[in-house]
Amino acid sequence: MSSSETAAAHDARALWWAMKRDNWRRMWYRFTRNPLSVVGLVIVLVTGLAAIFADYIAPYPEHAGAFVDFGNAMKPPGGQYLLGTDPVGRDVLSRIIYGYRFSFGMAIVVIALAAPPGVILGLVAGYYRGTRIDSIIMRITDIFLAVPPLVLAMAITAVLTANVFNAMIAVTLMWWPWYTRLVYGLASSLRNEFYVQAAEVMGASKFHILFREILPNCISSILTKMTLDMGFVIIIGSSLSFVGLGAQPPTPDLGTMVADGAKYMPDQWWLTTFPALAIVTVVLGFNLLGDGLRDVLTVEEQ
Amino acid sequence: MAVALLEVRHLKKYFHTAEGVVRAVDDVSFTLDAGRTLGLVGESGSGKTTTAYMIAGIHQPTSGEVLFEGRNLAGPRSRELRRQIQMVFQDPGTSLNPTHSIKDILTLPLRVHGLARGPQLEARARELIEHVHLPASFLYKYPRELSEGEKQAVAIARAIAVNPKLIVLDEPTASLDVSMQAWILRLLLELQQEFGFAYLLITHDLSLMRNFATDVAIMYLGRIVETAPADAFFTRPRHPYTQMLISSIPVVTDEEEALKPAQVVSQGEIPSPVNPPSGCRFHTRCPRRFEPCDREEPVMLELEPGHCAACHLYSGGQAAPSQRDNP
Repeated sequence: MSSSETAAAHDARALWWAMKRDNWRRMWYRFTRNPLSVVGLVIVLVTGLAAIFADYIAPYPEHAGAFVDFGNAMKPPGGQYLLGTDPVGRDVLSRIIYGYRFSFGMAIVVIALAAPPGVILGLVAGYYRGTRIDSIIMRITDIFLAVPPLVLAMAITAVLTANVFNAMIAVTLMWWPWYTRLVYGLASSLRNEFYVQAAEVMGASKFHILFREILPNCISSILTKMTLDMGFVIIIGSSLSFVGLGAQPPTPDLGTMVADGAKYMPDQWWLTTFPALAIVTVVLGFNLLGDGLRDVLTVEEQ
Repeated sequence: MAVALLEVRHLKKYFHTAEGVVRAVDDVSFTLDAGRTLGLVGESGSGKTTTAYMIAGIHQPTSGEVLFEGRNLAGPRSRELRRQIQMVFQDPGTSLNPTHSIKDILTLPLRVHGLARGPQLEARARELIEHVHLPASFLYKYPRELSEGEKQAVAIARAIAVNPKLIVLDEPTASLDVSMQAWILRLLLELQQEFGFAYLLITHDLSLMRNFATDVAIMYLGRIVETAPADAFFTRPRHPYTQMLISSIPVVTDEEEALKPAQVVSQGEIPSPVNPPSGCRFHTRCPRRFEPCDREEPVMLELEPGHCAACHLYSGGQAAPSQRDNP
């Protein structure tokens, strides 16, 4: 390769990176124009980092598990224990932080398991819209959508045992069809775009058409949905724990904490109120962030 | 006689819809030789885009044949045939994937056909972008950063990337403003001279024909009613529908008006292809219709060498034979 060609390739790379950087800068600028989006991002970042670094941030990391200190039981908020302590003397703040770790972990696992098959099925069904492949995939999807999640979770735990793993299976099973529906709608309209026709005329493979032509144009909607779903999966997970089908003691879980604390209302109000607020805050954060992302990404598409 | 580059024989495409069978293309035949430009002209709903899609391989014909260098294109096409026939779509805004860079768009046909790899791809993309007179920096842009005309130039560059013999142009300038139209047409002519492509130009814009097409075929309701060399088409149109189309070209001066070969006032709208008129399909709008027009289908007659029309005016008003011949 001659030096001029090397220089040209170098220029090309430089142009490429400049373009990427400008795009990101523009998107960031648009995102920050909406203060609510920024609030959402901050909430998600703070709670997410707290969940990751729980061992260093929580004032009493050992309180996350089966720890007992009856001398400090039922302390009201303030002083040594910022958000009070529970009936066995564990720090509520520490348990909330570990509860976030659990909730985030569960939401990420569920979405990571539910989204890829849902997206692939939706792409295939949408691309082959009107054929037998479409009917089969979408009718199965409809069946799963018709089952209420809590009922499915109860059915699964009735057959198996009530634990975190089975709760995640239950939520994943009811979650993928939403991705299939979303991507189905997008793909069945995108397949008529001229760029898809152009790829077909060229003789590009179906794999290329599905994953390189159609999928990239669905990514912004999928990302937005995944962000919003983080909040919803956290709610569902907490609900399952609340009715005793999710995390089992002593695993710190926000839903379990709300359920256990409810017995002590209204005198020991902090036992229920703070975990409930923690759920509300993180779900709100994901919703605001998701809305902000949607605004930025849809404008970017036009 | 040598085999034509593209020969279309009795091509039909029926769509089954809730309202009935739409006869979008109903027995269309024509030929196109290498290096020539055939303009396929018609109103909306005349079936010209459906014809183009069948030639490009997007639709399968209901019946009839498309022959490319004598080879039948029915069924799945070989990679080689797909390479030989390329298409430029009507709307450059949606014919380029918004998530791909111009470089990815231009190199896709090369990757699909295995014509280049690695650093060759970049070099070929630069060549292509130069052929359509855009700066090389455009390779690192996305379609949304380009004007409509520039996007269409990229779509053309993508079509020529694999050195096809035939390029189907589906209303390539319909969505562009006038200055961009001229630029794109000049570009197409220049590329044709340099590389010898044959163009099948689908359009409703007659004024494109005069400077761009070498041959013209007029479609009406799924049929071809007249085929002619471009100059004969403008000076001696034979079919009343063609005469009506030419009369309706807007002009500014009386001199231009006087240049028009015939004055036929257009009347009515194109009927529905679900239930086309009997006999000659144009008889419901034809100012010169007479006795047999609503009963007998006119046949294509060669009135001068290379100039054919399907009209009872030229069949002597006699009952036409039931079988239609081709030019």
